[in-house]
Amino acid sequence: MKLFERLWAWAVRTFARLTKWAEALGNFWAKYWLAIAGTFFVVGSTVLKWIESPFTSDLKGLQIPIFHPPTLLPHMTLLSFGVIGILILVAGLFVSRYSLIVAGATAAILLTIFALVPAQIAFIQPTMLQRLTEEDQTMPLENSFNKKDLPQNYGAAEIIPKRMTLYSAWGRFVAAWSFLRLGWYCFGLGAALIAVYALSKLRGQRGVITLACLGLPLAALAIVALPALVGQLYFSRGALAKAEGRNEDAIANFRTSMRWDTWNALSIDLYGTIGELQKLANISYDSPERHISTALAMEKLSNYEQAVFELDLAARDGGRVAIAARREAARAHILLGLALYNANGYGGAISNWQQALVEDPDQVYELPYLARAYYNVGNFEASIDTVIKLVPYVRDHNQSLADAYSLAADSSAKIGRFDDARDYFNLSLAVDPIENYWALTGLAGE
Amino acid sequence: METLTSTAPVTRRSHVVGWSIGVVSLCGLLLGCYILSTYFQPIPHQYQLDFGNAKWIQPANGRPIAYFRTDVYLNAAPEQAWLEVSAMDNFKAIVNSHSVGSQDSVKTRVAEIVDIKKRLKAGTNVIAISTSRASYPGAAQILVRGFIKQQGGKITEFVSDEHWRVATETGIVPGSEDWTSSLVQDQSWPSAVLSPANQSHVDIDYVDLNPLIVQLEPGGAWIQSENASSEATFSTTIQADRAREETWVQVAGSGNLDLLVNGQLITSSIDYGSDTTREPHLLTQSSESSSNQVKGARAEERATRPSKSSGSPFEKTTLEAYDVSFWIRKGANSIIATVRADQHPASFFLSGFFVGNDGGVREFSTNSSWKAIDKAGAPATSDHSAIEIGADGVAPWGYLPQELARPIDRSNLFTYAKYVGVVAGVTAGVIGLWLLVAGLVANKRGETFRRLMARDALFHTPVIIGLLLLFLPNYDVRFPLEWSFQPRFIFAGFVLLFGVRLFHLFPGGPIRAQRKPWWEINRDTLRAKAPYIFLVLIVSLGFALRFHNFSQMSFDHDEMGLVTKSKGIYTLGIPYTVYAGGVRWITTYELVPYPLALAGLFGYSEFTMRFPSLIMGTLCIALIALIGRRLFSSWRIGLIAAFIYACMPLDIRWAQNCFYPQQCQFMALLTTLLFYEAIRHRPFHTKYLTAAAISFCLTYISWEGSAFLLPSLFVGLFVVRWGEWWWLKQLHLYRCIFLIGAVVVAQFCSRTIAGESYLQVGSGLSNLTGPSLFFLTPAYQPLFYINKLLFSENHVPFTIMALIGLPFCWSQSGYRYLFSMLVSLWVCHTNFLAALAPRYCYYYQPFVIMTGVAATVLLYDRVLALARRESYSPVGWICAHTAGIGVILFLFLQSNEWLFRDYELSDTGNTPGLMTRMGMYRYNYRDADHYVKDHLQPGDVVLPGIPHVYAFYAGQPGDYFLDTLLASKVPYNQLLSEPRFVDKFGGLPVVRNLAELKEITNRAPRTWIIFAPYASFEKLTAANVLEYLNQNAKIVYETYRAKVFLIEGHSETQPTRGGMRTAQMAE
Repeated sequence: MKLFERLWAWAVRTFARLTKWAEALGNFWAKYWLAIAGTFFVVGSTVLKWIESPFTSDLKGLQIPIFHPPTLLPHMTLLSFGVIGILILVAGLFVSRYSLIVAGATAAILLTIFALVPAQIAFIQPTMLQRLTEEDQTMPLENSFNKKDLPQNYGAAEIIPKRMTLYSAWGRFVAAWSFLRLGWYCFGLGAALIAVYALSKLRGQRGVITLACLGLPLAALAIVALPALVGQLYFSRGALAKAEGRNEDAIANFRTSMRWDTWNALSIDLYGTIGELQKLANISYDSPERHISTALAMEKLSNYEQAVFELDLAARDGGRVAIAARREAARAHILLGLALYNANGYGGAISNWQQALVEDPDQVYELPYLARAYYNVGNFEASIDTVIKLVPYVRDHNQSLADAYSLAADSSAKIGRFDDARDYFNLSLAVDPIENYWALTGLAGE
Repeated sequence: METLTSTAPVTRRSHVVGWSIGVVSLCGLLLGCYILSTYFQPIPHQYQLDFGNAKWIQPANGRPIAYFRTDVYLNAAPEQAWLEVSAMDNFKAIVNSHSVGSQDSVKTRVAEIVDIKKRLKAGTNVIAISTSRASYPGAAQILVRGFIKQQGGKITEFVSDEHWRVATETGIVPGSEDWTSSLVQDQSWPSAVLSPANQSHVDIDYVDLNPLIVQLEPGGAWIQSENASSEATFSTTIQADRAREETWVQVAGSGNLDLLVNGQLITSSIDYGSDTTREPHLLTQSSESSSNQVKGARAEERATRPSKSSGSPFEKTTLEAYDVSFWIRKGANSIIATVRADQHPASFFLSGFFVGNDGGVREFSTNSSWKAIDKAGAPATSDHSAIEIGADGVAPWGYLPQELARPIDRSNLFTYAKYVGVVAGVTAGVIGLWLLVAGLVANKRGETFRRLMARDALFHTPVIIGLLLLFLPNYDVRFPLEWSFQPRFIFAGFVLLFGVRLFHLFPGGPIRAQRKPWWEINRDTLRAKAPYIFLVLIVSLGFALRFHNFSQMSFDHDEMGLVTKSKGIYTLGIPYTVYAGGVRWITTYELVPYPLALAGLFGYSEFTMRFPSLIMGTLCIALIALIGRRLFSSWRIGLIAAFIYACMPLDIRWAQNCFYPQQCQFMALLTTLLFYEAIRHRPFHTKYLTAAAISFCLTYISWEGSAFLLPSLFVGLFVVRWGEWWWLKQLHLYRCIFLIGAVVVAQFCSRTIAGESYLQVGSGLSNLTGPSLFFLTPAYQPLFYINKLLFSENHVPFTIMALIGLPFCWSQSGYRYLFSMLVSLWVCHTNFLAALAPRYCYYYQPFVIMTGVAATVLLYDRVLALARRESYSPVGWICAHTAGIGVILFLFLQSNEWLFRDYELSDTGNTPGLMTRMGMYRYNYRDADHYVKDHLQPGDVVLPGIPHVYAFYAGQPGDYFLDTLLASKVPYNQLLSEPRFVDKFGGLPVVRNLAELKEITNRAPRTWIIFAPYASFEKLTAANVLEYLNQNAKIVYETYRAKVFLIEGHSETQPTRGGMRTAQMAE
């Protein structure tokens, strides 16, 4: 009985103590909840997905470098938006103990970082947007291939951006924004909460802080977007000149547009247009642009071999045009491979896809095709190796990953490695358990 | 005991200027939007089709699915041919087995006009139109008019009438031919009958293409430059009678074409952002065959729309139509076109017309008066007249197919900057005018500037309401797009804005308390009783709306699952089914079958089973009114919200369905109310708290996804009792939490134990065991519930009002409570529940209505307070009332279908959500099952789509369950003579692949397969099985989202009895 009473007394004391702590905690929360929630969102956002890649790995806040485009296999980097954001936040909150205006400045800088991310993708590092849009355009082909050539896996589909308008600066900004995901929004929300916190504490200086929080991001955006806007202006002039039949003017304007806007400088279509205008104006014989123009025409006629030949000629002189041409050549190889594959020419398809990887190692979208083609020709070891190569790239996309594992399982089963096959099928089901008929029936031994 | 109180908001004197600025700015913004849309943005023209003498026709048996056909004989290929089609809900028009057009919009008489000249040929041509209604009741109906001008000038016209043939299932066609084939002899098909729709006026949807585009013969000639070079620029000037005169041009070129109208780029041949999604094929393969490999609508579109980039450019040229009205100036207008052809002479064809105010048409086209600047072989400056090379139809292009070009994309930063500038400018102008008028009148009358500012601001409110109400038709499918953006409305707005200011001449002095009118002798008594009278009326209305036709629709599979399980309550006291020799008790919606079992005492039918939902749906109306009363200390909010809820289609539809959502919503609302009653007292009211805990438990076992209500209640508590922590010490709270925890753990254990003891394969929602970090997965869709709830059709204005009210109403504890719960429930469901479905948000849908209504009424009170205290004008006071009542009217009118059908309000356009519209049939299992039952012969085998629904309606079980992709979870039954997987409701053996299916169909004299629900059946059935069914089965019955297939043993080549019988029945 005594023990019970003592226990009861202890429980009451503990409860009282806990409620006291909870009350203190509650008061602290009520006083600083904006700053706490803001900090939580900013810090938490850095480990969430900021940029969704339709095919390759998604990018977290800690993996988006500020000064160069991220690699295909992203990794944490110190000079990333996420790390810089956290450092600024920590420093700002620390100094704000002495001067609350610093909290406002911190919020303004965080909001600027937030606003700069889509601008970074659209204007500063257009190769990143190019990769994202290329992946986006590749997905219908991937889906069509999966539907036709692979056993069924109807796992939950991902939502990927559609119908992007890429020929205007505004359209590219919107396109870049469409790839941004929860992490980026949380970062913005956190920054906004900190701004509200600063505003609520600094009643006398609300105007300055509001101005900083709105003006700084807008100014940064304007500075970053300015070259692209100038490029857009020249591009529009070029298009107008072209429509009026002033070919030389059009070419000159397009070239100026390329100087201002890196996106245009890497655009194979714009090079093709210039080449076509050169051809009609009978100028610049043997220019890279004319070769590209011919190559694009060949591609449209499904004459991929000739297209690749022309693109090789275009890439001779180096420079940005060569980068664009080589990228297009790799794409032509992939398309030729797919065309051969559809015509049951698996050997030719494999050699073209291998060549595409040599031309542009970033064209990893073809790895699922390659793995399946190896499987079809009976080269099961190569198929498994290709899947192993593919898995790190698609690790954030359940359906692609599940299909890759299922393919490896099928290949393993073909060469008698049933334990491996079972493991792969289990991995497939683990990552995509919804309507994954391929893995389900594979495990059941059908 | 301290109690939270909600007082009516008042406008403080210090806020008068702010409120006045807000009202005037809103008026300015609205006017700015109207001016922007009317004068600065191109408004797409829309047209009503003229069907002449055509009649609405339908099948004689009144079925909702129909296939209409008629034959047209031509002596020669046509030079001009068009087809106008309208149908209820949707249609697909097919000419000679080629799809030429399709439209789909539920509860709308959709329409389209298409050019069909390239699909017609000399000889017999089949015009076929299929339509499949989703709305009910009513038969499938079409209205058709066609025109063909053959080469040589002979004109053939046809319209829909009793001579058309119609079938209600494609199984009527013997053999393997498609129903659209010209080889099918349709003489044996039943004739169509005239529809009752001919006797009344019906609204037909608008079309985007000006019918004159295809109805007028394209005039003009193909033109070339003098040297027939491969690049040429053509130009001319056309005279317009007025600015923005309606002007259409159709253009075609022998190569890449750039077109400028008055310096505005209309079309550009820069292939920027080239399409890489095209399925590649080898050079030797025909593009036709490759395009056919791509499945789906997209591929179909490509197949019917020739690619401009492959094959001969001559054959693929299309006459593309552009509406260029927006860029037309009064007087001379320049048109410049540059054509660049690779290997051919640059040729250009243009045909256009102006449409005058009187409807008169003035045509213009390419001819020798055009200028042609030749680039090759001539100096760049040479400017000669163009050379005509032939009229439309000349070789090598022939008569060109006509189509509407893609809208001109004008999205760029400068355009948006201009838009912002216009709206900001108008707003600034309205504000400036307000200040000017207030200043002048203040000076003149010697009143204070502040008072005049308030009074003049109030005079803006009728304009705001007028413009807001004018917005509604823009989203109604019966009006053309952006109908309200017309100069006359802007003019009326300004007239009203200036006219109402005349009342400054008669300010009227301060508003005095009104004298008691004679009919208000017992005013207090009436006031006390009126809310209850209104409540009874609203609840009665709600009940009547829900009761009307509430048992008309067939049970769907979700309802039937619960109905089946409810029968177990009579024997073991728990809902369960039996298979594999064991009792499989219910593991979700545990509470829902109990009211069903109670109603089942009066027999099992749609009426009895749906009656509990009907009652709970009706009680929800009263609960909403009560919540409004208790949270806001005012009946107005509660009654208005209850009235809107009572008439809202979504809520009416769910009250007519016996699945869990209605019960879950009722329990959730009850919990919300009880919890608020508990926390509004200090210390918490323990009895209410206990009741809230019990109510939460009942909500939870109605559907465990509603567990998110618990954290939301606590968020509501934090927000309502902000900065107060005394409640942490209230022990009873922990007792209640313990009770809730015990129920949750017990339910989870029950679910785990029930799933443990047997083997099953397949996919299903039962994989989902609890909340998870869904936002980390690729399937995460943050906008799902925004699209399906907050910005879905008639919820949009409530969401907007709730957001507008946020800064003004936050001080109201009731508003805080509802708003924070709504937001937290949305966050929880979006981020922590790894399954997405529109019905999951239904239980907190009333929060959207209540929050929106609360914000509206509270804002109304503020404006009224402004009028009372500051305007010193009865007119101002009337204006304030007009504003408040106008917004409430706006909310009500758009929230249901009685006056407006604002289907376009959704964030995602006219895409109906689950149960969002009245009269939409989900799945008609009943008729399909009855059909099979009525035609069943001894030895027949039945494969029902949903076995337990078939067992209920047919009164006998099916034989097998088709699950070839393991899309449904199927358990293993070891007790069968041949142990195998079985379906979990009826215990039918599962057919897992084509071999097993063939084994059944080959042995049975006849095999019936009920494809319902049709869409998911098609998606979730193995491709080889579908192919087998396409080749061997006949569709013998079709109804709402359900089809019945019949396979007759080995007699695939013989005429099917099902088809013959159906034809006989139809006759």
